[in-house]
Amino acid sequence: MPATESGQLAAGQELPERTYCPDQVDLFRYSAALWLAHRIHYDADYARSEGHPGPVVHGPLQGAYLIRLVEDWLAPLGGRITEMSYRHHRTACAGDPLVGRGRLVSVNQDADVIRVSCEVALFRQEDGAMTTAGRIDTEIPKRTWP
Amino acid sequence: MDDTELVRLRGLVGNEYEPATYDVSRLDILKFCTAIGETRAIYLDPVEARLAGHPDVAAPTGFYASLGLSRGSIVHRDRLGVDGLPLDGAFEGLRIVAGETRVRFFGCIHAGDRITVRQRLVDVYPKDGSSGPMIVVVYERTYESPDGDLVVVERYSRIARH
Repeated sequence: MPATESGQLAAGQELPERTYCPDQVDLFRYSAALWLAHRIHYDADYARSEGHPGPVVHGPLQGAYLIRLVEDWLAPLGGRITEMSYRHHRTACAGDPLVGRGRLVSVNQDADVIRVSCEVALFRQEDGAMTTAGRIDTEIPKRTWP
Repeated sequence: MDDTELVRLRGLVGNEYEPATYDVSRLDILKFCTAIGETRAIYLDPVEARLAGHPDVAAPTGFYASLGLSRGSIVHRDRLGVDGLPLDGAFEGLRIVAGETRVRFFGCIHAGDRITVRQRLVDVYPKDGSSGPMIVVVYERTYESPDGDLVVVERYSRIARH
């Protein structure tokens, strides 16, 4: 681990856990903001006809939750996200509370920035199944480092 | 999933879709923020955004998706299929779910920006899923400024099955 002025960044450090509770209204509003008419996200009967238990939480909405999980920690440090990758493992449906967890997996110093990579994932609160997991890379300018 | 479907989809590799150019407004950003529960001032308040060094309200990091998914979706009703997705010829009769996503961020989108979204179908391959054979279709989308600067590059897959 590289030395930092405050020594607060270290691999293994956990991000504060967050819980997201997307319901049908949230899914509708996300679809509306994207002008996305894909029926699996708002029509429960149609979603079931495609084999889903209910209206499906959008992939990029789960991506947005993972971004918030990291940015809640990153924004006060003046940092930004440079890259994000994730994939979906299980379906999340409207009404499933999702727990977001993450941790720092690498911390590297460049000339002007500290590069921090985070592992992030969302889990269904009800049964603990992981719905989406991935990695978010960030950079924090040294000048904004507290 | 039979080979005919795979061969047909493989024939689409390299296809470039019609690019779309959008003028990003404060209202677009406000709607996106309220949809995801984003409340930070740089995304909502022009004064706070300028104090933080932005030219206008910034778009949240995940906002690019609203431009990317609009590409091809803002069409007349008769160009949407029964599933509500645009009839682009690739997936008719198949069920589609999101696969992997990889996004690189080179810049920040702001209200007042003009962003051009380009999309290409870059790969197609078969995969055995828990519920039977599936086909993975990989796309790349680029988001660029009028000067041609890349703001966001996204590579993502959709998983198709019968």
